[in-house]
Amino acid sequence: MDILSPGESIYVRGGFSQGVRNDGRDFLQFRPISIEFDGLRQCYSSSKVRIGSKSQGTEVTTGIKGVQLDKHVGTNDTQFQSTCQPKIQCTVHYCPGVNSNELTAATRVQQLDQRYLKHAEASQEQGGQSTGQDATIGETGSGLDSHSNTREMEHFLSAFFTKQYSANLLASFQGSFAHDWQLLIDTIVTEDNGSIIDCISLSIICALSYLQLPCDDEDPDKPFTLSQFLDWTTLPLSLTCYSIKEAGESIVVDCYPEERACSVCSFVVTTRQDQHDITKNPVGASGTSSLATIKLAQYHCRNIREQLISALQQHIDAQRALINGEQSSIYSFCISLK
Amino acid sequence: MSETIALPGEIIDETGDFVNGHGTRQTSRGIVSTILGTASLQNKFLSVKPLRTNYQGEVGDVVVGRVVEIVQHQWKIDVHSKLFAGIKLGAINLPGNELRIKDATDELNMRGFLQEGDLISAEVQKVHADGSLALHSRNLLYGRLENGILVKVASSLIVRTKQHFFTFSFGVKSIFGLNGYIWLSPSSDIDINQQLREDYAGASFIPRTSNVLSDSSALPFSPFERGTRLAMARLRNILLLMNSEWEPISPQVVEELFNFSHKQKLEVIDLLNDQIGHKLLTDFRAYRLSNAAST
Amino acid sequence: MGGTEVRATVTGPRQDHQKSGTNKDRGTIETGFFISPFAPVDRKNSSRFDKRSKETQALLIHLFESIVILDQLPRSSIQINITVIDSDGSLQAATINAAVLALVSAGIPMKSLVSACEVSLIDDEILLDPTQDETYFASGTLLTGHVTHSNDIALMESTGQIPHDTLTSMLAQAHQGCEQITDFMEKALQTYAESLSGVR
Repeated sequence: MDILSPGESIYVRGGFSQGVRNDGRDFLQFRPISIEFDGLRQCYSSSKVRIGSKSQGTEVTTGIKGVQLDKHVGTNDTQFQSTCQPKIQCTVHYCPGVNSNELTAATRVQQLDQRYLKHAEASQEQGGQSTGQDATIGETGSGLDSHSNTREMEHFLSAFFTKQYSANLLASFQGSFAHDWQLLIDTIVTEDNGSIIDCISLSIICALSYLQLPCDDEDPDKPFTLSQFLDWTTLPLSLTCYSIKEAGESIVVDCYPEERACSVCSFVVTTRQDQHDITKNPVGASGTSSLATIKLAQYHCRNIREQLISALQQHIDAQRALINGEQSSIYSFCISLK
Repeated sequence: MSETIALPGEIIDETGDFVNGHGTRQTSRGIVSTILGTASLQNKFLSVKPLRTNYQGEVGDVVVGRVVEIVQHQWKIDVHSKLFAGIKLGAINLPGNELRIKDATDELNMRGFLQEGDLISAEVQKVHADGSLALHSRNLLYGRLENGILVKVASSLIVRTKQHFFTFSFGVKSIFGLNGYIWLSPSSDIDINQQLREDYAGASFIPRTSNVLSDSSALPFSPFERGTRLAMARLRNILLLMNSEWEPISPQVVEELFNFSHKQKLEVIDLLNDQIGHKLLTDFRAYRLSNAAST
Repeated sequence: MGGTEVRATVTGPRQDHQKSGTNKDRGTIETGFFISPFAPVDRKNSSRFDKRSKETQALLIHLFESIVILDQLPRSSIQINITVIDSDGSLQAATINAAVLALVSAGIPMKSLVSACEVSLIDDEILLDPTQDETYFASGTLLTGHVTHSNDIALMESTGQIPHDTLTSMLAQAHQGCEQITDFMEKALQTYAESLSGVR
């Protein structure tokens, strides 16, 4: 549970009831997102995504390296399907003390007790009012917040994203031979101010969207040909949704820690093109949420995903046209979603 | 002596005419700066004022802080300084007779007044030898803060003025804590505890009736006008913008920038964007210069 | 530094939570050192707790305990966190330089600036600021940290084998290298300071 005084909590919740958040955004609005491509020389592809402003934001850097596996050889100009096994490792580099308040061990224990108590009350309340349409998502754990062990956070994030990318990615391209690859995707979180999972997810997608792997390296005289890899628009995007009860059954995205503390329940919605997966988010409030809220979240997340992907697509196409196939340089742009 | 920038380890005076003040130390080669800052001479003291540092604290400063711990008979407050500040049980006004001696019951009920996580405003009473501060709130101006937004900026940016409690013209009142924590709240704040306040006349902290932390979702909130909320959001974004662009913060300048952002027809959310914010501030500085030149 | 990119963050001075009495008079320094898995040429699954990280952390603590004026910060602690984003030689030197700059910009009192650089010895040739490949083939590498504006050496560490007579010339070369870095750091700090104060 994030530390927040009841005084601030009153204000935030009052704001929710009127549809105005602390910084003036709507419930479904993201902070400005800026993305930098290809900043790391040692990697095949990399991206640095920042949600929020320079002073208050969440920043994630992803680097992708690859290891060549089996080789398929064929005649010239065969259409190949090469597979790519992603292996994702997520590292959360927290600077303790920044964006978190100091608490002594004793107080922390007290906070945990309060949280269990609150959850018990909340579930009782819900149980009494509902008509069986409630859905409890996952298990209710002790929860993670900015005070908890960095390692636990890292484990959770690694496992979460590895599961998403566990299916092999396929790519097809022309050539005389092709390799199977094992992609090693590494992410580090350098700053945290809410929306970590969203940021990491976006960063991985951006890095993969820009990925170009060498496919022709046997003949030393032949120049390196890099090929367009997979269709990155089908990649999964995870968004963290927080449900609040002040404005009916509503969803809020991209929350600051103080808004997180006032929410009832949070869950992560991962959308692919047609599918939705929902997982309980251990970061933030633990609680229960109704089926209607979840459906609403799915609907909203699908919209947000479309907007994000199309915005990214525009920028990437524009930049590709500019560069004309040369090795790219660092560039950045800003998306403001509505 | 004009202000020059001094780097740590840089010799700022070799003549030996002066005495080393804050931010410097005496070595065999002369007076050497220990921090990055501006060197200045006052009487015979050569000192370096840091450009950017956490809050140092002086007697009489108004600060806004968050309660972190309760130990023995004092509350430990985080004021963004190198050590926690302390506010003793005897430094606040208790309900009833002001001159009442604090007893053991009061000590046990400390959590009823201020809990971990609460925000308060107070004044620095004393600075201890190790740099920690002793606060007091023996004035009705200070107390527990409810219903508003806390904005954190760099303490070096807050300008020392006479007024730290400021009410803006658009319905928002604020406390500019010299430690870099700024509290914003709507000035039309209808006191939820109106009745209680009358009962506990003279007290700076009204005791809580229930264990609020587990119940905070059940606390009633008074909905303010949507306009006031948007104004507060705009103000919050402006303060953060001034922080990232390193603009000195004082209530008057903040109000001017607020009105300027309205003139430039910027939405509240636009102020979150770095590029737009940077442009706004550059225009604002030019505007102020031209105004100052014409008057 | 060239292909090496290191990011240093300083938090503090803050209240120290340890109840031990040793730091009643002085502050303490804690460090964290982390190499991103994608930083080295061969991806390495690095963690915060492996030998290399621990060594560098100890190195930093050792250096900064002598440079930072901890008597002015009783019962406080300073946390220095280093993240290596790209690594191509002279890693420890880059780390030290980054940490020094971070401490200065945080306003923490220090006795002086420290600039660090590495020199390598390959086949009787002394190379300043070696890349990863050069370090790999070198018979010995020397890391030095120089105190600015003086001839004092704050830190010296060598790996590999360095013959006696070459050591002096390597030190001289390192000294020159550090002076170049000092110039660079001072210019950068000057620009930074002007951007902060010039606005007022």
